Amino acid sequence: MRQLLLLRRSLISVRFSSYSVSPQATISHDEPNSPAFAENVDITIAGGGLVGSAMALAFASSPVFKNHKIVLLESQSKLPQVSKNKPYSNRVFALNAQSISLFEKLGAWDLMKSILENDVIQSCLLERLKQFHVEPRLNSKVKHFEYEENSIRIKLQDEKINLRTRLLIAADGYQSSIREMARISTMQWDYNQFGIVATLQLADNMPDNVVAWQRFLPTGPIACLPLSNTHSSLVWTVPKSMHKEIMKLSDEQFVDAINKAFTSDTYKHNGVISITERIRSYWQQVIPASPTVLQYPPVIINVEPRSRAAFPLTLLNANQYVRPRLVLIGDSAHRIHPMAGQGVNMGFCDVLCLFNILEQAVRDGADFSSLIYLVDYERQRQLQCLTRLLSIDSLNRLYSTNFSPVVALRSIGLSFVNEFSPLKKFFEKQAASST
Amino acid sequence: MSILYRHFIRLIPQFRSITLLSRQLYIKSSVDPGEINRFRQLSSSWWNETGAYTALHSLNQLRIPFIREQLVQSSSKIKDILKPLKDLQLLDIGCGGGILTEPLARLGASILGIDAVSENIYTAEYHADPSLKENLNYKHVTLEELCENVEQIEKYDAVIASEVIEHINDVDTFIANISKLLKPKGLCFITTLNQTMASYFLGIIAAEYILRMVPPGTHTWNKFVRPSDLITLFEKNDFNVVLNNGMFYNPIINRWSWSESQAINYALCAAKN
Repeated sequence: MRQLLLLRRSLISVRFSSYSVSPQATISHDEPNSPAFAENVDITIAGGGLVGSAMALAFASSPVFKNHKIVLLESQSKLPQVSKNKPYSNRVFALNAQSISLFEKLGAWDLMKSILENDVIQSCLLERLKQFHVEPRLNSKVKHFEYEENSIRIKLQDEKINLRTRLLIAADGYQSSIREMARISTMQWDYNQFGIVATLQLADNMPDNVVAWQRFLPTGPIACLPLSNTHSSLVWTVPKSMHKEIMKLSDEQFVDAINKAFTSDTYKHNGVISITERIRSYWQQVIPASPTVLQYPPVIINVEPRSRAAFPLTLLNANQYVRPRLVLIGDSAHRIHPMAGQGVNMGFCDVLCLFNILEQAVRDGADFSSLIYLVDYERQRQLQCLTRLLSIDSLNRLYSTNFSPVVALRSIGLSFVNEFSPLKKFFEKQAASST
Repeated sequence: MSILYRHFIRLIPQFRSITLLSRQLYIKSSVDPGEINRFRQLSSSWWNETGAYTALHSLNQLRIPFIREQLVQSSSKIKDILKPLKDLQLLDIGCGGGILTEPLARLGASILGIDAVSENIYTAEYHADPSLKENLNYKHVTLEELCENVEQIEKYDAVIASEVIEHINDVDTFIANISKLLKPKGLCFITTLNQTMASYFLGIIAAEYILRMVPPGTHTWNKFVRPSDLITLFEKNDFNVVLNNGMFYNPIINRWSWSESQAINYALCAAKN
């Protein structure tokens, strides 16, 4: 109920927001005591993560922006580099078709594959950025920003350095400090779930380890994403109450728990199974059964040492994605439940959308930081992101209950979608294209 | 209700003499002092994108590509992708605060913006991007005064009068003056409002009094020009109308789009023979 009220409030503010400069933001007119020197740049991207690096690369590699100065700020002191011999990291993403085509356009795809770890994607993007002479500035967290006449003045954590930028793009993650400074309100709630990630070693070398596997348990979905013939990545959603004990298990006990979660029959409702089978036999008289290949879940033998980690799951949607001269992209604008692997893909979609709109603005001779264009970005992305956030949220709620009629309905529904190919293709397309 | 009644009552006698040709009988100069005063008061809000001129800012998304495509097509040289209008001389009549002038300068054109209101010229010059000072110029002068300057005759590749002729008394002389300043085969771009029932109810009543999208009194319905009349005047002044398209404004999302209907707004491009 509380969540519905939050949603209602956020929808109202999306439609009637005035986009005016926040009253708390100071307007500086070059006071005498502020440091006189400020480096003039055109676009500043705060946050050197996946989405921030992709955004920087989009501008750096485009001929339309060749005369614009792009700066990428990163608060940490180190960023990943490509290395063949490192063990797989535990943060893994499945890229959808649109993200892949974005990387092809940016010329970074050749360095990557399709289910990828965070470090690999990021280091490939940074490698490509280097070719355009854009290096991320490390240890450069944005401490404060203020509006000037036609620009934003940024003060970095190193007090001596100021930047004067025409456009500030915030890609600093879901706890975005820039979003807080701009006083942009958000709609968010806690799922009371934790996501447990780990890198798993599979039994026998499986050359056909190319299928992502997900099982919906009453406690939450468990998913296995293939990395190579021998390794897969785990994303297991568990209730808050369970996560501590799972993290405390020894490696062998953890592997046992995973295998049990994938294969155990204790979660199945016999009543539901018989109803589903009966209904399936009815519709197969009308719709021919499409040939289904039986997929068996992977068998895990080991977990990579020190790869097990847990993080809390929340939903977040900023009520405004733009302000004058300020844009939120990636997790700073929206955060989704990991069950459908959509989070980072939505971020890359933000990058593509914003880039296309700003490129059009420059081709039209406009000031690209003009609110007219930023509002176009917000209008497109708010609609797409909010619907995706809420549909995944509803799916999570649907699968979080043990109430038999709901279990029956969702089982019947899911097998119907699986067998009725036009519907299955529709959902596959939605997940793959994320527009 | 009484606003509507007063407005309507004022217009009734003028319905009889609504054609352009008969309007010219009581004209002295093309610039109306009442119009000048109204714009003087609004000069500071030109560049506030969410203020009184918000529709003009969003109109750029339509008129800049319109102007750019026509000019690029008519010129055979291969252009720089970022400055497609390089080496072209443009004139923006009634430039106001420079909303249309600046983007055209950014696309590489050498453009002069003129306006009868000096405050508008001050606002435009103040806002101008310093990197554009070589090809962007403003002058507080009327079209007639500019025509008296010998150096301006047949100087321009294109003249733009966007959202201007509905404030002009003598459109025939206006076009004749434009013709003097244009090179042969030069282009003239006009965007304006049509004179129909739809433009009265939507363009004036709804826009000015109900939704308050533009300040009340900005437009006077009997000065609106029908496309057919405008085409006649262009042909009379030895122009050939190349393009004639309707435009539609959606006030909810503040976006313009091209439309098959010219009932309210339209854009016209004419080439001098």
